[in-house]
Amino acid sequence: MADELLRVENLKTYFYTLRGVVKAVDNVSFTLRKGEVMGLAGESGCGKSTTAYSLINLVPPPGRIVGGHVYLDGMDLAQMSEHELRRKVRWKRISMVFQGAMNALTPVYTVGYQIAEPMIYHAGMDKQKAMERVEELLSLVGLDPGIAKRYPHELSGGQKQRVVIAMALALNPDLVIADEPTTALDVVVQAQILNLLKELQRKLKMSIILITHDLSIIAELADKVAVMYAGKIVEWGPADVIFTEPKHPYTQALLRAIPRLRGPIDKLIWIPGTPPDLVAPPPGCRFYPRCTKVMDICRREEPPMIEIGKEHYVSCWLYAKR
Amino acid sequence: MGLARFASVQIINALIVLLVVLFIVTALFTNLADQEKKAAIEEAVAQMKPPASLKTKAEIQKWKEEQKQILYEREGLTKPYWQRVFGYMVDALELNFGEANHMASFKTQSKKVSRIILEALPNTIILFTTATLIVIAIGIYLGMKAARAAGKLLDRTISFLAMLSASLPMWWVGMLMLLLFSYKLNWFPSNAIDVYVAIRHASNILVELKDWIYYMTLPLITVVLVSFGGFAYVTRNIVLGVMNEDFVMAARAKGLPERKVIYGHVLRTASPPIVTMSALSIIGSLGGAIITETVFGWPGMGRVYWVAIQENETAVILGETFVTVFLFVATIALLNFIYGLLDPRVKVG
Amino acid sequence: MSVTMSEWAYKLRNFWREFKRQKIGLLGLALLIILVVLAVAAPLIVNPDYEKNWNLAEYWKDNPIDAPPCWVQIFSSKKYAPQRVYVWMSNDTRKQSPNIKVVLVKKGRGYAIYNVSMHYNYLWDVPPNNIKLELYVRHKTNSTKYPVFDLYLTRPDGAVLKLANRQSMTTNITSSLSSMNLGRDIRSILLEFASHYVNTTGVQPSTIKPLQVIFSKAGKGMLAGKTPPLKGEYTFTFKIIFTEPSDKVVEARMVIMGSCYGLLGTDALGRDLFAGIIFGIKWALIIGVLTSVISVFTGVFYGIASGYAGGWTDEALMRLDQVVYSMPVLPLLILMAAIWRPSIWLIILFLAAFGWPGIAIVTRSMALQLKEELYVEAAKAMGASGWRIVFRYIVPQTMPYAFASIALSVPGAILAEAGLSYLGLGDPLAVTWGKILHDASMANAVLNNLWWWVLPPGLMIALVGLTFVFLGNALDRVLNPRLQR
Repeated sequence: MADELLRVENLKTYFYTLRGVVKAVDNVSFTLRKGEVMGLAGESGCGKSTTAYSLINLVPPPGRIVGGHVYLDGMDLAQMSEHELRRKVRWKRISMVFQGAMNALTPVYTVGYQIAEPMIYHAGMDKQKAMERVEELLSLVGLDPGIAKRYPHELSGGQKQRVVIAMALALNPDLVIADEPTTALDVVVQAQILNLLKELQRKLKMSIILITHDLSIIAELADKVAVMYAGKIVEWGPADVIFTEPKHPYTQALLRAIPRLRGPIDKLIWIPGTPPDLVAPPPGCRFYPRCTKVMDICRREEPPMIEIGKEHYVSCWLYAKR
Repeated sequence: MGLARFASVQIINALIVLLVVLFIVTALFTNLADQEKKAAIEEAVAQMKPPASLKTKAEIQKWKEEQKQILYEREGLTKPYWQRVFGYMVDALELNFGEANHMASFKTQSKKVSRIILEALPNTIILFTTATLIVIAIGIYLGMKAARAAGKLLDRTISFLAMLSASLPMWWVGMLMLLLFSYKLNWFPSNAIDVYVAIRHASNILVELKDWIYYMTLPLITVVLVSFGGFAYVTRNIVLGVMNEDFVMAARAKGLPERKVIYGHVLRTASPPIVTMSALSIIGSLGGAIITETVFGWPGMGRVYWVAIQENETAVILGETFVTVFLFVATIALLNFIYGLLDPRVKVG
Repeated sequence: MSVTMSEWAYKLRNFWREFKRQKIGLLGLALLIILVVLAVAAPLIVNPDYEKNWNLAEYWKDNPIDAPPCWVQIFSSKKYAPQRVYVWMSNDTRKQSPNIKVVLVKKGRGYAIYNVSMHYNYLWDVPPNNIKLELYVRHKTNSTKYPVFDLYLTRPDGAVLKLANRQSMTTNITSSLSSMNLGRDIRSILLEFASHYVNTTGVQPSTIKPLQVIFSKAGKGMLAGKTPPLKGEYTFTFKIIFTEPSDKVVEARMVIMGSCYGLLGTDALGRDLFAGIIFGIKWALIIGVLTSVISVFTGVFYGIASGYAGGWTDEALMRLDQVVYSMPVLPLLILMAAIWRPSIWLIILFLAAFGWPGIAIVTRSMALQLKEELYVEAAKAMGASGWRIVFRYIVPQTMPYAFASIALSVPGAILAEAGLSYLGLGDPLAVTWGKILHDASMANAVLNNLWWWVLPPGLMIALVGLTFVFLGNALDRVLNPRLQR
């Protein structure tokens, strides 16, 4: 693909727990271009965050990457040593914007220091220059540069989220992974952050992987959407196509479940059932127990990934030509 | 809140505690001290020779009573109880504790209680501060190692050692040390107070230092041995708790070198509770100092306290109690202050 | 949330299931059960009179002093002479040991000669600590015609030593070999005996150890204990001449004070240290548990009261808490004990009086959090009184922390009391391990390498402490789960 930035092939990340092996990410593949925004959608527990952490090999034990490839500029990140990853990839090429609910900021250091940290230790900048850049970044995200001297507990949720975004941009990465960047925020602040992200992406032209369960956010920002279910990608393609002509039953159900502000007030249609146990997923298609269009073959065999449009893929037997 | 205000709050708190405790102890003691004074006066009066002019027994008796009253007045025993308590308190705050009956200070053999305490105090501080510093160093090192290798052999050993050290009497371990290293093997001396005899023969400061180290080794090893396990274990718990926090993963994601993550982010965040723990550790070992020093004969505050109790030296006891409480309270205040320095959530906002 | 009876049963079962998974908790529980059983069954394991008479030196006079436990023989090639008591009583044929024979030798007008022979078959390498010979005679009151006696010792090698010559028996005889002087110092007698075999010029009688010399072969080095042990039959013979017709021998005793004694040896008074250890168990348990329970419950209720009340009450209570927390417990305890010599119950109360502040602080922060919970608000809206809310909603949720704290506070209490007893300030009537160590220190046990006196009490203190630490650890893990494993 032209100006391809990231190519993920058959990524598998399993968690080795006392209960058994949890196949959190099972054979996930997608590609991402330079400057493209991809939304990664799905319910909680479907494996989106784990996929993101797997890209820079930051999966906490007892999990680890068991197979597959993550190609960035010819390097396979899944095979790289911790040392190399740290030196070459983390934060320099790929950085993360963490959930607002998380304590991504260390309580004992000022936020300015924490933003500057990767610049000082990673890129070898001297302190003075780094702090100048910190002020630049803070302005960029719409904060008063004086905030650099504050401690995390002194900031509001929205301010902290902006700090985390500024931090992610510190080394001008090619790819920013945004993990539920607006989930813990109230609606007004959510809108502000979204607008900020849009603006930044337009200005700096970096790629973004936007992880969220909230499809409306994806609709605002993403060029491409990948829908995950039970550790697998069930559909991915251009955003406008996915939203207007979803092909996978799960995608369709998700979109149906979103309440609309305008239009006739119908009953809310939700998806009955629960996601499968990832230690012992059902054979065949993982969605079949909840699928309205389930067929016999779905119970037996896993559907392959089928191209049904320009860069539009779906993993469903409905579209397999037999 | 600002650093200055935070510090003053600590100091005020400490002073309040000090005054309250001083008041309680003094009130309890005044009674005892009075009884002693009265007995001393009775004895002195009994020895007195009545003037030749008095002949009858009744007259002599009356004269003796009068003498007693004069002495009572002089010693202030006729004043109301609470006034005397207050008087003792003021004395204590001025660090005037009076004199001991028989006891004398270690170096200068002075009978002044303040001197006795002043010469014994540094010994206690040297022993226990050195021990605590060693324990902190070993404890943090082992605790962090155990936290990073959680569940493995080192970790489990440390857990067990911690449990052991919470159950072992420090002074009993001291007895065992003496039994083995002092009496059986003759490697170390058995009565540390002999250090004062030894240093009189010391030719220069280096030899004197060597003598001190020689006498201090066994008690030092005992204190460290019994304390490090617990400290390492609590460090391990704190560090483990911090390592599971999100910001640690965030720091790793930022590509920071592992050393920076562990020492810069984890240890730094864990330091406030570790400092609190150090405070408790020092206080704990100081509290038990009395017995430990007695076992080894270490010439410190604890031993002075013990001897004073046995010899009924009320003035020394009162002075020691005051100084001990003062040390306790000051240490707690100091460590609260350091906690405030290390944890911005406390002092700012 | 509030809980009902059946919910309690369900919770209890769940708790037990979780607890069983903690190996260390089970170990602690097992140890606790063993300790409790030993404490309760103490009168069956050890003679309870030992405890009543613990401080009575008289009671222990037949026991060897500073004797090691008998199992040390396993590790040494030498055999130790065991404790034996031989009694002969004239009026009770059942109490007449075969080792003691009282025989009328000759009777004449106005006199009677009796031989009282005591036989000791010595088969060991390490001679007894001491041998006490006792002879009780019924003598006509106010009569000046006292019996007269000789005392001979016949050794297996045929040597006969005269230990007493024509001594007048004005009182009953109770003499032990180590310091026997019935007219003549036994050490001089032995020195004379030795002079037949070695050069004894310049040797002072005071340097001679009687039991060592008596039970060793005669020959070079016999005074220094360098000769091999002389095994065989030893006989002590009292030849008594009665001149008062009604006089007779009433009782004869030979006490062999073993070179080893029992399971844990003896102390400087001859007390059975194993008994002492057993008696100490119940005190350790009582002190530990009682102190912890009192201080933890005080702390919990104090903390809840302070946290729930809030405002000025909270401030005031917390100031008081700070004051008590900052007081140095042990020095004050030692001081109080030195002045008032309290009983063990007062000591427990004093310890508990200083143990609650830490618990109160933690409980208070729990209460602060809990009182913001929605169900508390709901209860208030329904008109529940403060008491009801506290007891139904807040207290039950602090119980897990309380129980873990109780277990974890026990070792501290035991150590504090042990320290106090070690200094001699504990309850003098209670046989605690600290007291045993105090006696050891007074008798210079450390200096004299009496390890069986010094080691066991400390080990037991540690063991009981560990038991509760194990329990507390397991309780903490089950009741206060953290995401740490």
